[in-house]
Amino acid sequence: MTRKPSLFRDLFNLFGAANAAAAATHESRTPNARDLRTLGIDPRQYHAISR
Amino acid sequence: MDTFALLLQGLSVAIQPINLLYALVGVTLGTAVGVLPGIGPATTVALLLPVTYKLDPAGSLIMFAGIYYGGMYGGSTTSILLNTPGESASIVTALEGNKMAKAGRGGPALATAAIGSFVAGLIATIALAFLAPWVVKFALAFGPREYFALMVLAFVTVSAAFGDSALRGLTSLFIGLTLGIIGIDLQTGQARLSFGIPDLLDGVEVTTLAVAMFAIGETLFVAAQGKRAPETVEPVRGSLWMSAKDWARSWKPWLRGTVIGFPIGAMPAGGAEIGTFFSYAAEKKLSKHPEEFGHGAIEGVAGPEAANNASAAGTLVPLLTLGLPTSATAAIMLAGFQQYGLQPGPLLFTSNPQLVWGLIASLLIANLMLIVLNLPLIGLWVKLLTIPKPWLYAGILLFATLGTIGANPSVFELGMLLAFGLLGYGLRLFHFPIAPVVVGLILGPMAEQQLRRALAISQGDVLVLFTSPISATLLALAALALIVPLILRARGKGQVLAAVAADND
Repeated sequence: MTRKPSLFRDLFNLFGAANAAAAATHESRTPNARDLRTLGIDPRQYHAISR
Repeated sequence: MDTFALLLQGLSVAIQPINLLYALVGVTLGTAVGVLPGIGPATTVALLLPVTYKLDPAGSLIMFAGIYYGGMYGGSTTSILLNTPGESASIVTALEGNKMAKAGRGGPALATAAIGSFVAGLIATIALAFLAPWVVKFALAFGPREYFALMVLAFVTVSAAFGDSALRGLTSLFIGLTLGIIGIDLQTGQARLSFGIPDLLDGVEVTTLAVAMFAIGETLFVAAQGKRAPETVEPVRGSLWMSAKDWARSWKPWLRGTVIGFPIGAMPAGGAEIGTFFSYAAEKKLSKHPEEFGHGAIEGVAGPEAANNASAAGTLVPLLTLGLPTSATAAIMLAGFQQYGLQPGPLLFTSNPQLVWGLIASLLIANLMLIVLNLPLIGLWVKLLTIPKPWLYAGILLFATLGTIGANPSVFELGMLLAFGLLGYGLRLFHFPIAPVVVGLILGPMAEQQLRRALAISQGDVLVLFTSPISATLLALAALALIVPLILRARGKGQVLAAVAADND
């Protein structure tokens, strides 16, 4: 069963992913791939950034 | 007096030659630390805390704010030219910016980052100037219970929403709160947690802890990461200027980045990074060329860069109006205010308007200085990366130690600096956030004082904290700030487990 598109849910998920990714960068970790994909970022490309 | 007149009054303070000099030193230092990976504005402001305590408060705070803004500007240069972000808030910029540089479009990438930062910084600073008096008007109605509730909100948001573990965040916070208890209790005269050591009777110096955590602990952590891969600087080929098409594709992301970054920066535990990730996602969704993302889309540089600068201005709204730090740099700046005996909050706007409005107005000037400093001097900033890293780290450790001893000439203080530095390193190593430790030490004693006042007024009735609509709302928000990240994390874990299960099927 596919869920109805919902702007509120999308924003909530986007904000959650942005929050998790930001938290990971704070702790010098790589954000998890699922969060990066939610944000439209290719995890392989993110890994290529040297830190 | 209306905001416009106050801002003009602030401008008259900001354009004094000495304050212009402080702003210039601040933005130059800020850009330099923004360029250098591993050193951020929080470390730099922490390093300068002990050496600026005898300077003019307005000048020092103008310099600190310049460092904050400069750090956001400088971080993009290395993101774009090296694929190595100088600042965590510039990581997202590297995704598209470095691709643009590799395709020979480094100039427009740097230009859209700098102009976007300027536009966002300008709009966000004006928004700060107009929003601050409203928040102050609201906050003037606060009594002890409302202040206590506000501090509980700050504790929860800074610790539970920072990082991805509420337990780790709260552990850091409680370390800070415990350190805040040390010393003589002003109400009863009782010595607390001083273990008979006379040097502890005055409590732990916020400056010592801030320098130890952010300069020593952070530097040890970065140095312990070992050697990085050799860095290759992408040369800036062609024009540094943007074409008409680049302008057309950049101006909307600049404005959207500002709209996203400013409120996120002002939110407790927002942080500039959230805004940059959010802005990147928004630009990719709204772009007419989503297929270019990942290959050098200019919108992916313009939006996040605007968002991180707007967020820096947003952070100053709760800091100046409520005394609430929402980021690590803001926590250190709060310590900066306190070393001059100033407490940011609504009363500061009435007791010291020249300083507050001078600081806000100086941000406009700093923003102008930054665009002049950044674009034409890119070659110079990149050269900073040739400084051998061991020299840099040793220099920071030496400067931190000398600064602390200079401010507090005592062997005990030096011992505390080193002990807290090692504690900071240990916390970073095991992924514990360090900002809540500093916030706990700064706000803990203030929260205790406000709680005691509220309870004295109510003759010990704890329910008084929930009978005021403002304090009840703030406490409800604090509960939400604790619960919502837990739900988000639980949802995330659920989705991961579902994905793993699907993979196994």
